[in-house]
Amino acid sequence: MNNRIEKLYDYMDQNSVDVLLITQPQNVYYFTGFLTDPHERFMGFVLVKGEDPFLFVPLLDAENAESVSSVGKIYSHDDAENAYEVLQRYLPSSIQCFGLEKNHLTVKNYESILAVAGADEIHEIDELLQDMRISKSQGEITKIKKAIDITEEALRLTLPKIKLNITEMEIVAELEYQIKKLGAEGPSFSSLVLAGEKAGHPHGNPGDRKIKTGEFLLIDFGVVLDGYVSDLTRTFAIGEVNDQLKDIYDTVLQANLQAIEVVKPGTSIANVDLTARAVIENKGYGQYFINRVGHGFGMEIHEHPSVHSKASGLLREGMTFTIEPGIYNPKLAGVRIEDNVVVTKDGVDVLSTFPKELQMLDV
Amino acid sequence: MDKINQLRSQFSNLGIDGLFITNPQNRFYFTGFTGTAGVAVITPTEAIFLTDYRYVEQAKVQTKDFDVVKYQDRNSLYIEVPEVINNLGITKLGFEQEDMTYGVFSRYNEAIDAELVPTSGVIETLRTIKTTEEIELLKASAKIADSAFKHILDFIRPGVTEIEISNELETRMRQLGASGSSFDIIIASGLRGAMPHGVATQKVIESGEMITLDFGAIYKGYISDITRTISVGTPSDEMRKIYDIVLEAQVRSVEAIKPGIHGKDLDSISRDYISEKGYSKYCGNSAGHGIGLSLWEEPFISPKSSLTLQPGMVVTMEPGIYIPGVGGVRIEDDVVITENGNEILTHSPKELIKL
Repeated sequence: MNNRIEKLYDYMDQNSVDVLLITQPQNVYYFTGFLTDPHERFMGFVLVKGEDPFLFVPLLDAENAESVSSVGKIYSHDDAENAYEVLQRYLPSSIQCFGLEKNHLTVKNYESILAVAGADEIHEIDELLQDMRISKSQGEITKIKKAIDITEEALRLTLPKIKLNITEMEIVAELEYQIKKLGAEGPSFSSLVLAGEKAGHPHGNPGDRKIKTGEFLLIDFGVVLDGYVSDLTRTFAIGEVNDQLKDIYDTVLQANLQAIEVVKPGTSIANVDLTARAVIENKGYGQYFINRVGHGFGMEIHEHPSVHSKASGLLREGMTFTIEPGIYNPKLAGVRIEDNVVVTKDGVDVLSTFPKELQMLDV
Repeated sequence: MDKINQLRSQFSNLGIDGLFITNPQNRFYFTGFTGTAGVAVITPTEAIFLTDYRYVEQAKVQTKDFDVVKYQDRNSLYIEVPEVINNLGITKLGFEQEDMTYGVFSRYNEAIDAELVPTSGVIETLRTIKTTEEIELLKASAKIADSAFKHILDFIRPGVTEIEISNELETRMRQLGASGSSFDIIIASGLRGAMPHGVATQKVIESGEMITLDFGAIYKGYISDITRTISVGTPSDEMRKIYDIVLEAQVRSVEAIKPGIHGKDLDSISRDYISEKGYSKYCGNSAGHGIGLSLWEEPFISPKSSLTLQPGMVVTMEPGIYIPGVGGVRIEDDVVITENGNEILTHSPKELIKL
């Protein structure tokens, strides 16, 4: 049994939890090594006090679960059965306290589980799992690093294809083609390629806007590889850009660098945001930086910690998050420079290595 | 507005005087909003869309029949949304129990005055009957898939890998205006054809193999889903025979698609024909499924089907034969049920193509 699962049993002992059910696919993967998207079917990892843990999966996933997971016992249900009634066979007949993920189970799942489990008390385990996952192990960091390497290689291979009049969407297609060719399972979120003033909206959609000289091009994308994600943004100049745009770029770059500088165990999470924000405000662009400076990532693209100006809590070794200050002026341009970092024992390791000095694309 | 009124007309049956919409596809269906954060509330007299600061401007442009209200951010969601709802005078507010997590439900339940009533599949049922505009979008999505198929025939040759074919298809669909691929593209060549869900691998295409290509586009939110099996060089006699059986099963099934036919009966047309030819053991799970905003939706065309087809429904028809150790064939079209029969949305040729 791995350390992570042992930790769950310890937790059950300490909190008098009789049965613990984990259903969120990434959480299941974290403990069992088995990753699947069961869609509407029911899937879970179940720990019963004093017994071996088991995976409970749709029949069509059973073979895969047996071959990849570290869990010895696999039970399954087929489409013609009521999954909850099948699950009941493997649960103790009397349950005092049942632990589950309140923020993952839908109301429908929750009611169906309670109907068969008949527990007297529900214990929420969302925070426990969040807390366990927030500090990444060396193995996880290695996987994240591989995802980042592919992302950067795809960007490198895409840049020469960017020519005058190519559309945002065509660049997206090229990026995603490259990441798959390099072995990624797919993009970790909808790739963003935004040109000129379109990048002035932090959440614009790539479309048939063609790129022109004298403006910025913002590229924000990432990949999924072996269950782990990356999330990288770089902003490029298309040909020569004016001094006003260069000043915006320099300001964002300074904000990015200074925010990275303060990262180490024990620093307040809010301080990372406030550091970047101060740089941007001092240059008079405060009104154009209206979102948080970063977010945790790992198996999911948005994980804890959320790195914003009012975040409580301190940085811990193994936390992985993005640092992505930006200036978004909807009438002019948008610049964002995003890195992926991990908090190390005494500081920070910047996992993304793609150059950050303003690069002028020769189109 | 028609959609909203259709929903309102169901309120009394559901025992509610308002519906809280949180499922992203259902939200899009009613509002046209393409952002990632926001909830909609529909009452007998009002339609309100709430979203955060990032999306307010976008929502104002995209949501025609809704009043747009801003909440600050994720942290204030559970304070500001209930405040708005509490001002609407709702007593029984339906919510989507297959979408809302128990954690979210608990927070809303504390702050919303109205009784929260669990509902299931209300909007999903409305969504089975497509509007004229939706059918146009599904046609456009199917057209992209057809064009991409035509293109890929020039690309496939012995020596390329399944992944290269999949990448080329996806890139082509995007160039044609798709926002993406509607699912992980299946490229199953040779023996891998026996895997109904054989997502593309690094396997190299060889002469004499058949290849099943199952893919589709997302166009303005709407899905297409097409399958063709083609041959690189001359196939074996057995594969050729299987192909003809699947084609006949598929054509017969499509011809039978019309209002009033039950999903089970439609499923059995291809199943029975394939069994008659001696391949009952190698037939797939179900003959088809509804498509629209999602890839898998009602009506499902399977032995467990529970619906009768009606005009405006759009389904795929995709019988197949999968023989481990030999290979597989599947042919799939997207079909809309019309008043008198059906119209096929995918037009790629179905006679066996030999490259």
